[in-house]
Amino acid sequence: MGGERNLDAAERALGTLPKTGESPRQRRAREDWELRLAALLSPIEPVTPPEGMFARITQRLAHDETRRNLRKANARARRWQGFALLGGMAAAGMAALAFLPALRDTSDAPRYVAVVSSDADGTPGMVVEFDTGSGLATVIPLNVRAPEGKDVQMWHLPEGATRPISIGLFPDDPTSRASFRAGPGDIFALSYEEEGGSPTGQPTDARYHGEIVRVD
Amino acid sequence: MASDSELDELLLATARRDRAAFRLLYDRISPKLFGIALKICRNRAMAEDVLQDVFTDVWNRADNFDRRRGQAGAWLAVIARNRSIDALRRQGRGFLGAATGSEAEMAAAPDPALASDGGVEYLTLVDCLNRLETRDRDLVLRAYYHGETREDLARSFNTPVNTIKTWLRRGLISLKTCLSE
Repeated sequence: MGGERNLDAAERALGTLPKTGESPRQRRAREDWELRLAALLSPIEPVTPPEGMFARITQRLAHDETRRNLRKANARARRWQGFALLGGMAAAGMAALAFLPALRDTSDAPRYVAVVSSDADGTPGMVVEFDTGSGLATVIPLNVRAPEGKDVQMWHLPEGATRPISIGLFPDDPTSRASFRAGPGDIFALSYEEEGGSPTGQPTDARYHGEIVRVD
Repeated sequence: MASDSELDELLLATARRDRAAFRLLYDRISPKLFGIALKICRNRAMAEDVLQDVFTDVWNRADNFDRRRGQAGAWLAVIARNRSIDALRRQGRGFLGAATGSEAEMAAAPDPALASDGGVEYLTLVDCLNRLETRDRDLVLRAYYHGETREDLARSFNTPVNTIKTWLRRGLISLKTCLSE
């Protein structure tokens, strides 16, 4: 190991030089230093993490996986133009969508929608339409039936956030609308909950997911 | 803490996507990693976020672990330390509240119990650090425990960045020489 180069590796391990742009060989040299310096962490006393931390971690891993799957699905969906998208949903029995202003809009402004669909069979359960001008999203409930004794709850996960926020129970009235702040990259979900909504404030059994994507 | 070889096995099983092993690994090592995050972040909420980042990394990158290069305990501790430093820097408080001297004490007063608990590397490292000039050692430890960059250190020591670089490197050369003796 060359002197100067190895000192650079030591400094990257310490963090006094940035790690970006390392070659595989440089990375190895830095990691060797990191493992050597890790002895400095051995006297640190263990502290029991809070209850429920492991559940938060697995929830996040599941969420990351959903996100990766969504990205793949969205890459396919993006090849569809507005009418094709509408046609696909109409074919799924969602003719009510013809009244969606976002999809009828003929202006050149980019349009953003999230189609929140069933993880099991892809049936759309809710559409979220996002207005770039106002920064507001509008939820359009479609047709989701909760199992006996359950309610369906709507969730919003803003881009970069780790915990979803409830946006209320799924309305019985299909013409009802709810508006709130949102942005591209946000994720929406529907979950099955005990009657009255999630007791924990977090989704219990999420069954539908969708991400806001641009529809050109 | 769990034995080294047990941690190695659990981490290798995690790399094979064994969820039960991942859970056991969490049970065994999360207190240690949370301790590291708390010590570095000095903020409970931040340390909790870091712990989530760490185990997300562990699940996604466990296949990078190579037991020929080091033990699982050290590999995991490095992730916890690096993630904690990342979090501090994101918050723009990389060196606020530093310089309490606790980091120097930590290195200067090793816990003898550690020597019998796989702490030989620690004692060797502390011994080598103690041979450095006080200022050079402080630089290394502040960078290590607080994530201070050359620029941060230059401000803390009211010294030009190039001088900091020289001192840091002098410290690291001595450290390396001592460790390879």
